[in-house]
Amino acid sequence: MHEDNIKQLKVLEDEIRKCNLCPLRQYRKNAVPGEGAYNSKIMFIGEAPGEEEDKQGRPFVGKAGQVLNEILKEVGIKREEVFITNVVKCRPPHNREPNDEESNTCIKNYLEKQIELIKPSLIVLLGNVAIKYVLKLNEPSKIRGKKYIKNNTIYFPTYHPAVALYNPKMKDALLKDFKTILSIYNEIKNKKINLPDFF
Amino acid sequence: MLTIEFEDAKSWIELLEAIRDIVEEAFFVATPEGLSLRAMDSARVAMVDLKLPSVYFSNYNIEKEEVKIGFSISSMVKILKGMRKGYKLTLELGEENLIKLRFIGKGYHTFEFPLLDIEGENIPSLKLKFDAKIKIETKVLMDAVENIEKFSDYATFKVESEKFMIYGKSEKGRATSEFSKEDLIELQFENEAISSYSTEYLLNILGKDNLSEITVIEFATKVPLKVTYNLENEGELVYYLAPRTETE
Repeated sequence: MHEDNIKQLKVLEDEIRKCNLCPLRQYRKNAVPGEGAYNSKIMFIGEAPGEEEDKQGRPFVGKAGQVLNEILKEVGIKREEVFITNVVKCRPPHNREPNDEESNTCIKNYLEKQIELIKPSLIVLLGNVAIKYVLKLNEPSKIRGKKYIKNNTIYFPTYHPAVALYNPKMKDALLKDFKTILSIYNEIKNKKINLPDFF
Repeated sequence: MLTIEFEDAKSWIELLEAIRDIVEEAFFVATPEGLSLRAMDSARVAMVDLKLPSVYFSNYNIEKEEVKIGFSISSMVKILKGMRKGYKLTLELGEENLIKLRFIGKGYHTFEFPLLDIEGENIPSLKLKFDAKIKIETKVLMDAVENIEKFSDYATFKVESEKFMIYGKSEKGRATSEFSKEDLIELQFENEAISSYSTEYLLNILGKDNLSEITVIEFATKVPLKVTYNLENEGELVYYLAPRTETE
């Protein structure tokens, strides 16, 4: 990855931590820009930080994060080799879903730039909020579990790991999707490097 | 609208021949500064970046800020075959979307054909940082890659502070070419680097000794290879070639 992109990502993260662009700023302890490998070929996008994420300023470190870690471990993807972030970078009050204004503002100003700089080949969308706002789709559940290709990037919509907290049987469904994600990821890793990877 | 004159038609034909293995349809852009082309092959593994400033030509006249010229390179090379040495070439573009080529030498020969009416792709610049820059005789480098091609589908380029190596191996055997600093015209070294590139592509890119006797290569670990030919009158032909993921 080009050094300029890393610098720009760090500047962007500082901007996120000081962001005042939407009302969520007033509820947060810490904004959560995201973490992981800046040169990762795979990016995970969740909904929003929860209580523990807000406390630590890191994504997926609460109970849903534990589920994500377990599934990643089970399929053999190291957490440190992926990049993890959310649609919105600040915790909505009482863990409600982020609304249109909050989601669209955060995506336009931050998430789209993160994607542009990291250039992942595969983006895993965790849950309906990520699917709906990132892919601009009204019926997100219809495309879950299938590859979706847009602008030369593969998107894989799946469940939010938190579903396994409410319904432990859903962990099997998540695991099945993550096995598909692993095979797409392996294909990407073994693919020849193309020049557009260096734009 | 646009008139370009080559003192010797051969230089234009040789340039087209040099890029036809990478680029099928070329979209040149003419501006008051000169003529340029940036294009990638269909697999997006190789790129051509050609810059011919206005001083490159014996006459260069443009009446617009920008004129786009799209044509099939192989078709143009086929048409021009036989019009080689000693002919003066004028390339003219009028309003009617036709390209006119006039060869003046033994006789006066004209060709006219329509331009492609699809827009060329706007390709951004590559962001690359290299660890080594090597100037080497064009023929010497080509010979080395040809030797490796007998054994392997890809050649590994390796640079150390005083040494440049190219090697390739397979079950058929191994070929290695080693060059000390003294064997090279120039070796600028930043860091040790190792990267592999497809020999099939390298053979299409290297060995253009009719364009320049010296080839400049730049590379870094797992970064595209940059190959530059400095042409006469400040022209420049640059190729980029994506690395292979694996390195022997």
